[in-house]
Amino acid sequence: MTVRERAAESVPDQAPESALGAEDLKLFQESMAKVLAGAEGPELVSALEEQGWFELWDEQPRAAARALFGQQGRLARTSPVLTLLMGASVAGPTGSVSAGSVSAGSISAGSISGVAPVLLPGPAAFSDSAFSDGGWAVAGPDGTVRALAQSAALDVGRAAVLPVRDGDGLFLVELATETLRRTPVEGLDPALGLCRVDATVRAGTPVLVGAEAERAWRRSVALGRRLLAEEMCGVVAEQLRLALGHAGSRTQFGRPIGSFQAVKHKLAEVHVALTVAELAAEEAWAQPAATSSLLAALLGATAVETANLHCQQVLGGIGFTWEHPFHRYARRGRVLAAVLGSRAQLARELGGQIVDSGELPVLAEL
Amino acid sequence: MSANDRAELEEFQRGFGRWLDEHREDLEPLRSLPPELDAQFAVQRRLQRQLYDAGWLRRGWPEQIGGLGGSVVVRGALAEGLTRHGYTFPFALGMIEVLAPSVTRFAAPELAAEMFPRFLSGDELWCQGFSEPEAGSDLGSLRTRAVDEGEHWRVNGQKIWTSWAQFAQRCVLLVRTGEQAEGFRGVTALFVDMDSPGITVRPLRAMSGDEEFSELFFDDVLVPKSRTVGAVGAGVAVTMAVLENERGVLAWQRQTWLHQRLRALVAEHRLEQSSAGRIGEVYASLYALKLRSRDTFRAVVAGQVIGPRSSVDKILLSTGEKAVFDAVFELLPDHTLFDDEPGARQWRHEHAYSRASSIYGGTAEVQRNILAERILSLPRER
Repeated sequence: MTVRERAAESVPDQAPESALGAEDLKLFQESMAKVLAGAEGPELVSALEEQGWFELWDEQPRAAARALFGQQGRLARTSPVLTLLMGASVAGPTGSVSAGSVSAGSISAGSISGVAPVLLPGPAAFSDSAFSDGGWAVAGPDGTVRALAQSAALDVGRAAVLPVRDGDGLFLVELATETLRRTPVEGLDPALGLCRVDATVRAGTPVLVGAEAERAWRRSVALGRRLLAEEMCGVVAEQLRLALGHAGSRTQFGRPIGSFQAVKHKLAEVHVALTVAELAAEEAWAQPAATSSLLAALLGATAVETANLHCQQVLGGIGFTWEHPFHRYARRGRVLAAVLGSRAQLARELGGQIVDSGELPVLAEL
Repeated sequence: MSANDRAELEEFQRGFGRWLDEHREDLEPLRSLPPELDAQFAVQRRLQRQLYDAGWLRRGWPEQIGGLGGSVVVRGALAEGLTRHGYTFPFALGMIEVLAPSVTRFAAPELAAEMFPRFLSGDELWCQGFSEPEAGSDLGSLRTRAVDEGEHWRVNGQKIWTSWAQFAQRCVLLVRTGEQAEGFRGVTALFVDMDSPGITVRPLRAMSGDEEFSELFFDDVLVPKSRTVGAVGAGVAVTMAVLENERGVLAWQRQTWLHQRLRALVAEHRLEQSSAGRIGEVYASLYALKLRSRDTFRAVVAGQVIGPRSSVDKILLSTGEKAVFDAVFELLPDHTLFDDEPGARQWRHEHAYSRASSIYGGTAEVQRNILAERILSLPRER
């Protein structure tokens, strides 16, 4: 597939939608903040169902993603929705799995409870340039494999889907949750509620194979990147808000530190990076293709890097304490910016396509 | 974008694309530029004239000043059409986008109607007399003085960094009509004939090797009062309009050109897979520029005032431009450092020119101050 075709490969069942009014978006965001503050895990999923979030997702994915994932970022909360939607995108609700029903995370049955979430192969999988977009777990000779999962997502679904290379074949394999061996992960960001999963691939059911599996997984990854991009924008916006508050109120040498040019320039850089990341996220929903989604994640990860560097520095000593919320955002941003490919991995993936084809993707047309 | 603008854009793109195809042979000599600056201007003027005569260049400009009316959106589409068809983009079209909207907005309507068609058709070139030896980023401290002598202003002083002044017939000049202590409040814009007695142009050689800019000396130059652009003491409004224009249609032109150059790099040179990461980063920075510039351009098309947010565009322009040409130097060292063929010379020239992108039109430092103080509301330094 050429870069041009890849860029033009839009996700058929997610048509561009009209922009949501600022007022409505604000209302959605406020209700999402309440839901996120009030519940977590499977209860959170039920609360989202009660609020009609999944219906909104079906009708207006961009507005829904902004409201939920943007708020997750701003509040450093989490939900299992990422891997559930990615799972719905590759396989549809359990029981209706067929190539024909592959959709872009549509919850057509009206309920998320039957959806098999995806297992994430982890950051290292995205360094593998042997496959078009990377991101495949690799099974050992005995068919065992290790992946990451959102623990709460496994509590919602009866099965999970893993993108895996077993021998020479690429498979999307559905694994019953009771066959998964789960080890809770603290890692850099314990609040994310991740777990490591050890599984035996051959105990599962291949739902898609070969080129079909590749296409479906690429779509699922693109969707995941769009969702992560929204969440990263939320994280960075909050980091900037914290740093701006500090720069305006903290006084040294008889003046607010925000009046010093060195401080101003750092925060202006974060503003520029965030502005760009938000535009890229918006464009990825308007034109939901693999390349626009990759760029949204790449520019989101760039904003995360910029904010981690500059906001931390501006926050000085207080930003280095456990008590100050900054570290939660620094942790969250760093993990989100790695899960479906880091900045460097995404740049290599994109640049590799450009170098191979000798063409540039034509995006963001007038 | 409104449905009308959208329809006009698509109609223009189709028509202009067809015209470029039909005139391919005719335009062939204009596809690549000769090395000498004078010859480059001559080639570009020919292209500009053909675009003007065929009407493409007059579209999107008001009828009162000699345009054909219609949406501003086609002015961005013109640049895109040219670069996509492999033509170099005439410098003058950039200058037109920077200067003409401000002059036609602030000058007397008769003056705009008389002068603008000459600029647009390529009969004339205008230049921009803003910076001075003691007034760069701190433009409000400029010292070139204009004394009120009833019918005319008497101008004395010196300007610097004026691009293409040696080719220009007119100059949009900032002068001090008030007290030095008034800062920008005492500054007025004038529209000056470059052949006025008392003007001396001394070209300066830029690090690109071109005589890209000049010093201008004004010795008792008389400028008619009718050539005052905007109100006396309102030079700051004209200046801000000029700087904002640089981030509207011009930025959209510029990003299409930068994409074209990156395309040339990957299409004409066999790059190793090891350069993939660098190429991906450069593409991402141009994509960022394009997204932002499209947003701003759409706002311009809709007639909105851009304001301080355009400093984001300016920063992205310079980071994007430097990213492209830095990557070329890094990925093609043998070619860019040791070859003497035209392609290598062009990369070197563009790399040198890209260094100025964080300096002209307000330095990157000034842009960051503007964002910090006017968008992020951080306290002012003084």
